[in-house]
Amino acid sequence: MIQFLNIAMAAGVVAASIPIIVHLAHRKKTKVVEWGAMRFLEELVAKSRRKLLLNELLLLLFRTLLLLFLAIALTRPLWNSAPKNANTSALPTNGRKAAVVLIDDSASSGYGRSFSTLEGMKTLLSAYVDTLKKGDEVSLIKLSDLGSTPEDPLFDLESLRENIRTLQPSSVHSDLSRLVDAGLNQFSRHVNPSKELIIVMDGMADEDLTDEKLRALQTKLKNHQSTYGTRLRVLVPKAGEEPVNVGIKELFTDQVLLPVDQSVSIHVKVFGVGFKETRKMSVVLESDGSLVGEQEIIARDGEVSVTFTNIFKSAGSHVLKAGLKGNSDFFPKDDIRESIAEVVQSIPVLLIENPASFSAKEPSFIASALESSQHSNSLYHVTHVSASDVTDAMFWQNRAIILNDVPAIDSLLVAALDRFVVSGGGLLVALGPHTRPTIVNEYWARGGEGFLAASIGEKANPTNSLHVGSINSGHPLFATMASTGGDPFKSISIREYFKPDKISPDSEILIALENGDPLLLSRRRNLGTIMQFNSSLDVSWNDFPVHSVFVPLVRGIGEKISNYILPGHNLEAGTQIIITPQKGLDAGPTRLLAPSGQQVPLKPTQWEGKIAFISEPCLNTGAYLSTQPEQQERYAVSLNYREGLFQRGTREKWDETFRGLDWKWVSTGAELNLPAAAEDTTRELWKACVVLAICFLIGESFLTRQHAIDQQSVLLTSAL
Amino acid sequence: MNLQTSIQEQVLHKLNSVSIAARQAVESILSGQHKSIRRGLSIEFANHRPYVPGDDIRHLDWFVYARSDRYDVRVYEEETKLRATIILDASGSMGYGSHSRTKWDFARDCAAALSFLMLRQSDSVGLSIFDSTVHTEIPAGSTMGHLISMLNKLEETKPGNETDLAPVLMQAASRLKRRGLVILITDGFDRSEAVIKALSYLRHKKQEVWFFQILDPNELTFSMTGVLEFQGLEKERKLKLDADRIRHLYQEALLRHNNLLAEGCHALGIRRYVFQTNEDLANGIIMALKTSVAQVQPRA
Repeated sequence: MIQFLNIAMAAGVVAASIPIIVHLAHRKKTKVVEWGAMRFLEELVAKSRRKLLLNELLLLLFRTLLLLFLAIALTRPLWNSAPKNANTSALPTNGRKAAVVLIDDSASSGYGRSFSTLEGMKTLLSAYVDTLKKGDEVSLIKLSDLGSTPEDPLFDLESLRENIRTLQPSSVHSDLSRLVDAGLNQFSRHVNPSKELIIVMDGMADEDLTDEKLRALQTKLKNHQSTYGTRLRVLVPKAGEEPVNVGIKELFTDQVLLPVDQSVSIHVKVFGVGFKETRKMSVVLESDGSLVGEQEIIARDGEVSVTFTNIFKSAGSHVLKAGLKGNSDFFPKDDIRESIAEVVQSIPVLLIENPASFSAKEPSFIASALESSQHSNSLYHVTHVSASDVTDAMFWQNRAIILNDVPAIDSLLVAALDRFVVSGGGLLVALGPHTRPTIVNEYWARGGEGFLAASIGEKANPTNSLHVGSINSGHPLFATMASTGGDPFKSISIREYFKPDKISPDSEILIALENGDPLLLSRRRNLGTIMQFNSSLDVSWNDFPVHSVFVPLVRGIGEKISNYILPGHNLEAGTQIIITPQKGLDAGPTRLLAPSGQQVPLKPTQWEGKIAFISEPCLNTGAYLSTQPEQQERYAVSLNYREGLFQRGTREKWDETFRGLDWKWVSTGAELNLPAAAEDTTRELWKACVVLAICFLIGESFLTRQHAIDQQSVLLTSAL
Repeated sequence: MNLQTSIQEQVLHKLNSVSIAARQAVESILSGQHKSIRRGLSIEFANHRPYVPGDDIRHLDWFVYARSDRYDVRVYEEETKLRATIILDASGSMGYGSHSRTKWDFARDCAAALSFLMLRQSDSVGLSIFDSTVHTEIPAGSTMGHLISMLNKLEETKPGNETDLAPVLMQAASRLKRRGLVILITDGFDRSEAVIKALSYLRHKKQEVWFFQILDPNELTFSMTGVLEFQGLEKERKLKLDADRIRHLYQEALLRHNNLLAEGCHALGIRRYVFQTNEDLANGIIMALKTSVAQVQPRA
């Protein structure tokens, strides 16, 4: 039985028709003449005509067969001499292997007392490489390489061994799902038939492998195994003693945007694992290289938090660096953590209130949330104005405008407001009891042409209050609330709201009620951003203002619509930095410097509709600096703290992970002696095809020469 | 214009207007005293031979019987006019012509012109037209009506089949009972050995043979160029050849063939003249006849 390992190349068989086509095309070109003295012409060719005819037929045959066998060789035919009912999917292990080796060089692989776990992984991998034979092809994919262009497989085992020797632990976080994905994709670059997927890892559990991801991973592996008979081997060095580690879990501030010349709190969370006693050490905090403070802590198995206060004297991005002093574990990577604090002078906001409820002396809930009474110098500079007193000149003195339960504004002001948004201003429209849907829909929404994110329908007044059903947690707005913990929106009760009617297609739902109705919508309109809150931002229709999440959300909205929310500046190792040049591309070149001072390559991209640059995956932890003319920004790349937790995956857990798959757990070199494969009944025929093609080529050359001689002797062009 | 008119206007008119010497030369051949060596009933006594059953007893020489008691028959030497047979090749190859006139056209006109000339001299002329076999045969005659029927037959005939010269000549020779003149008009594209053998058989039958070979000038020069597919006129298979590369080989082969024919004819005492279809027919005939007179001596 013959199989074709590369059946796509069967199209090349068509090439075998080329000589015939050329021959036929050539035939058509001659002119026919009638001739009387054929006797003498026949005398000329009579002797060699038969020979020439045979030669030409043989030449045609040889040329056709030459191309045919080359095309067949490309399809890699596989002859299986086993009976038809034998299990043909089990490819021999001693044939030519196509091995894809996936190396989990995540940060946790760098742990070790005398030598790191990665060294054990390298030893095991080298033992595996020793089982390979000449002609086997191997791809080496490191977790830290994901995101870069895949390389072609290696045939040179010595180069492979050298690559293994130079492996170093990276700072990236484990991601088995992505690693396996990359490995399965890499098989498309291999040509050998016997596929093997080798996962080399330190055995730590992948906490990010959710049930959904796990099911997808299992499905992909099963499909690959059933299609190609891929063998799966998981190489994990034997576990040593339980890791002991103390590291910094988090370094953060209460707000994303911090005010200038104002005391702000900076929190450092320290965690410990693998020890029962306590350890004394201190946390040192620096801001832009200057010492902020040093606090002594008693580290234990669990978390310890310390808080520092600091006053930033200037606006801009400041590098905060926290370090553990006096820690003597075997995983120093998580003893230092950096974070970027964004400091701004102030954000001018125009708050337009309903004239009926406007009171200059009694600020609304929104105004109170923006102008925190805790600080003398608020980040937001809020201008209150009644809708009846507002002028369009006021718009351009502010970065953001809030329409709070405003029934209507002059049509000229609506047009000016639209221009303000289009040219980069931010707008928050909060509806409420005074909202007049007809005016809102006719002048503000204008069937999707206006600035609203959605036109509004009837007012909803459910019998029982509704709660928040879901939030778009991936949106940068909610990044400010990441440290809040739990789900702070669940307890909010919404009594009344406007049901959106037609949502603009470029709108995004940020908060939805439990019945699915959108509560908070966001829409980009040219350079500006609009947010639409479909209930009131006071207590008349809900109890939102009395919840703790109200203030951060309102401030987050303020930051967002004021265009102060930029691509993340605090990143995890292995992710890419996005830079948005504030003055556009014409202002000059944008550069990104790594902590080592080396320039990081950038590619143009877009972020939130703006022109931006994106870097390669940042593998080194520390502070990165982006420079543009008259603008500098800093980015902090840190280790994922979970890498320091060293939560070892149990054998049961791995069994569960690879359930239903043909896989083998290997923890020593001896276990690499794979079970004897069934007698190899398969033979690849491509070599034979190539040999035959070469024979035909030689024969063709000989015949061509002979044909030329014969033709010279009778001066005959063609006998056919 | 029919063949009779055409020949009269184009050929005979010219033959009449050629110089006296030339005309005399022609006429001396065509209308000279043809002394037949056929023994038969005539005025001049030739010999005696024994009587065989079936002989007319009127020819018994009673004087010889009286003197010698033998039954002898008197044999006379007969004096007669020329008795000619034109054997004309109508095979496919005769249909070739690189310009307005094919070899067949030329051969047909030549046969017609010779017939006219001979009848004018009161000689008798017969006609055989053949390709692979003899398909038209008109016995010798000397009346104008006979000539017209010959011309009509010539006009009707179209060349087309394969050539097989040797058996045809053998066949014609076997039918010729009396001495006479055989004029063979053909391109001679058959195996030279077979043609010579057939001609020798004609000579063996005591026939005087004139061999008029008709060729197209392009068959001699082979002036075509490039790769061509040659299609024969006698159902031969097609040949794809480079004309430039085979020209000299072809010419050599044709020359070799013609030389063999020429040598064979010379050895047999046969008058051979090569016509090219682009030459003037009348002049060609005059030149051929003059050459025959000057060069060819019939073998004893």
